[in-house]
Amino acid sequence: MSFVSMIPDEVLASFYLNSIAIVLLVGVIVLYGRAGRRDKTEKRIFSDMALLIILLSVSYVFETAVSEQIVPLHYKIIIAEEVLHDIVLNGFCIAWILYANYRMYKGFGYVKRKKWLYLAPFFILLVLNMANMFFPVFRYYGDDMKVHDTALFILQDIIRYGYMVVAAVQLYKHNKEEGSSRFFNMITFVFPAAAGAVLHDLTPYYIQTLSLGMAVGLALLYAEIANEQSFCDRETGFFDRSYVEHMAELISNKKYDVGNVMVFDLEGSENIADFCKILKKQLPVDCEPIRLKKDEILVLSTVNEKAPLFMVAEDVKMSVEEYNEKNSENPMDVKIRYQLKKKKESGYELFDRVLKRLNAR
Amino acid sequence: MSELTIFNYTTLILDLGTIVMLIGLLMVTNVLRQRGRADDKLFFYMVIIAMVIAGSDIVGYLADGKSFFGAPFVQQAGMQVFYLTFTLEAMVWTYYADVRFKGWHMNYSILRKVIFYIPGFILLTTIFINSFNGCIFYVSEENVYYRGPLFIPMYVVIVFYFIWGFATMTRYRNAGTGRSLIPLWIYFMPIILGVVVTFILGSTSLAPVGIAVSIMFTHLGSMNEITDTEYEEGEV
Repeated sequence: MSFVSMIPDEVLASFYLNSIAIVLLVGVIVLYGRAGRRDKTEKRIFSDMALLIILLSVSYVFETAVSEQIVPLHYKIIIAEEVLHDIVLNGFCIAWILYANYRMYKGFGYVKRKKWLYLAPFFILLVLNMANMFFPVFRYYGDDMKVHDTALFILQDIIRYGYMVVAAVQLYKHNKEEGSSRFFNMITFVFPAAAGAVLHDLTPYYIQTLSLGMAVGLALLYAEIANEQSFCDRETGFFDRSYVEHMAELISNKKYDVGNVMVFDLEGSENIADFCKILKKQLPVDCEPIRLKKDEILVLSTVNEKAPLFMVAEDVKMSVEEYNEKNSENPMDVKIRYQLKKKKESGYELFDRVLKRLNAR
Repeated sequence: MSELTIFNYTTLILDLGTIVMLIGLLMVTNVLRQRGRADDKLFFYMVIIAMVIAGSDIVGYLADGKSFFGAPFVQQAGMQVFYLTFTLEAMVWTYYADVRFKGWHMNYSILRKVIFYIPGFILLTTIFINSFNGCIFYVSEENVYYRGPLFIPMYVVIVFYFIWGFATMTRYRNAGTGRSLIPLWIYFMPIILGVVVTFILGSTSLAPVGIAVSIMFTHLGSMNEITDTEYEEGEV
């Protein structure tokens, strides 16, 4: 306790804020790194972005400690640290541009062709940052023993944040055209990062919210990526066809005990989303619905008796009839088929048999 | 606002950041909730409770030591809600772990479940009657917060439920496919760090942000699980 009481409150506050950012980012790096179905290049760029924010967080704590003169250093080392801080932030902007372009074009060809537009300004900034070690380009050490910004510093900020926003907007537009904007909502990344940047400027110097905002934004970005690459069907929220193999593994390892399988076939009907809403209300908790085809839903259940299965089917049929009465111009036509587990048949054998009949395996 | 200390600012920023992150998490998990599964609904409630924890924390911490009219009442109310929701979160987390990872293997009797949650319900009742006897915490006439005799036992019960939830998650996930899974410390560390630092230092509240980070990691880990197949396409 006595050691903590020796540390100025400003440094402790900076430490708390930035350590939360670091914990969040370390967790995201580990979780992303351990995920199986991820593009390795995308993983690498994403991890680099997270590492740069970690470096930024550490530099903020260091800066606060220096400002409070806990760590007496020569002014040139202080300036060097500030320059490094700027380089790290600029590096993050480059990583973000590369990431956005890689996601859009699955490669770096576009960025290479437009390198003068995208990358050249940042290399110019890098040269100016290095020059700042010797001349007051963006920052200088004042007579009050504190670091101050020059007028040119605003230009650096404009370039940084301008490019980040442009890349985010490009990515958003691209995702919307591709039809995946539902999963890739830019607000989940841009808003926390932008809020962090704004608060960073408005609050006292020891309240450093930029790294925290970027860390929260990156964590939510990863959650969006995980959504996008999960087995989730975008239209209905059910698992999609690629979940079949994962389900087969769960069943073979006895993590799920299949008692019966029901197949709901809409026979070319376009209102699958409405039907899935009906299904969600009627299905018991232990059921696993999987959208096999555009108009076909497979439902697994642990119950191995006819009576509960028929009750569910009757409830679904009644709900479909009510729906058709209200939507007579676009009615649903649902066929319900089922398969119960035979004697001495395992859940896996039942599942495999059904999938082969449906040509899904 | 002129009465706000450095740590008031820090707590305010952290709790607001927590609420923003949790709102983002609700948006991201919206499509998954459409499945209507019980664990998704429980996850939703966990996020909402975590937001209430952060909100009540802001109220309680900012009112501490202040002199505006009604400040002691505001602090008392804020911290009451904080500890009630904190306990509730621990209990819901344990139940979520049961439903999510044991799911259809949950063969416990209702009696067994009730007995397991009795300490939690007793704690909730104790926190409620704390308003009258200050057994867990009390606020002096000068509007300063003090810990009561049952403060440590309260944290023991809360931490017990969190540990039980994490143990459930590890035991049933490891018993499945046999793959090397996401390490426990990813979920455990933020919340335990947040609780321990708040408990020891008390100057800044890190418990709400610790809970939020753990919830975020739980969601990301779950998403990893359901996409954990070998990536067969080559690199660009």
